[in-house]
Amino acid sequence: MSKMNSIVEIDQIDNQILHILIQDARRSLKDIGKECGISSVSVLNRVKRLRELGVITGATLFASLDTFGFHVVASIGMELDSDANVSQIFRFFSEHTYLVEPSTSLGKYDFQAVIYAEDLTKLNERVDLVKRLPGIKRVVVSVWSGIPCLNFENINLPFKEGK
Amino acid sequence: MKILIFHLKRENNTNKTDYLILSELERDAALSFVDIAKKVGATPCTVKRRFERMKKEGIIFGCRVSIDLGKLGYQGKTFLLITLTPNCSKSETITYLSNIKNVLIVTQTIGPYDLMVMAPITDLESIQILLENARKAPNIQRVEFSCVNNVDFPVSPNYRTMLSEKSHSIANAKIDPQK
Repeated sequence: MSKMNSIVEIDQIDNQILHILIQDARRSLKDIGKECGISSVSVLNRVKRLRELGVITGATLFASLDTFGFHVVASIGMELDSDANVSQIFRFFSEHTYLVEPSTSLGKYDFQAVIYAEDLTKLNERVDLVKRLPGIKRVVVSVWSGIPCLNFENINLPFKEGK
Repeated sequence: MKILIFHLKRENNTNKTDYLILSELERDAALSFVDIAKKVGATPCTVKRRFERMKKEGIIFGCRVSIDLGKLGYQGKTFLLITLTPNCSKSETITYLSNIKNVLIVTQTIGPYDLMVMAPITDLESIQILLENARKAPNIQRVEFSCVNNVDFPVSPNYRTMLSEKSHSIANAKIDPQK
């Protein structure tokens, strides 16, 4: 598992602000302030602090993947040989933009990633590229089908009570 | 004549400016319309209008803040690989699973498993709790899992890079919109 990051303490209002921004990162400071019962300057200062401490790292756009021509998304799980060169595998993944979220893993797979493709033919091509990497024992492909249920608001952001 | 023009506007598919706007937003979804306008060579008013239009047409779903969950005590993400009992109601199971604490994604998959679930986890105990809760869902035959030590929320930065680049190349392939 990852190194212990220095954990940032947030309070109930920070938690509220973060949840508002998870729903819509473009909401005005004034709006957020109204909902949390604080001034927009307070919101600004809190958001600034969260950015400086690395809790907030930016904002992500969610748009229909079809607009970008990506009609296929697949998760791939890989089993590696014991002598596999993991950094080489990571390097390969970073050189191909449609190979996203590469990560070593524990449990069913040794390595996981997500592949975006315009169609199934392209998906096959890309999976083949991965299969041919040295050190890869087995590749399992799970194509996402239907509309995924995305529930990002469901994240629990632990905070310190009181104040 | 007015009605004809209105129709033509309606059929205007996502054009070059739209893709340039999307490309900038993929890089940073909180960029102001003024900043985006400077980068794409349009007025802030145009950017705002096109942004709202893309939202209305379901091209843009929304913008979410990106968080490093590691700073809040999370250590990674667990993926549940679920096999369902044959001939069951998938939607029942999907609803149940998506309501489990911290479950962020539930998707149907075509492959060796029927469903995939993703939930960030804080420690070993939270993996155990997640597995126990998942096994209580209706129609579950088998639950396997895999854990990664990635703590990006909601998705990792290379997802944004990929879409930003793709958007930019689509924009470059399109002709300039008529002024």
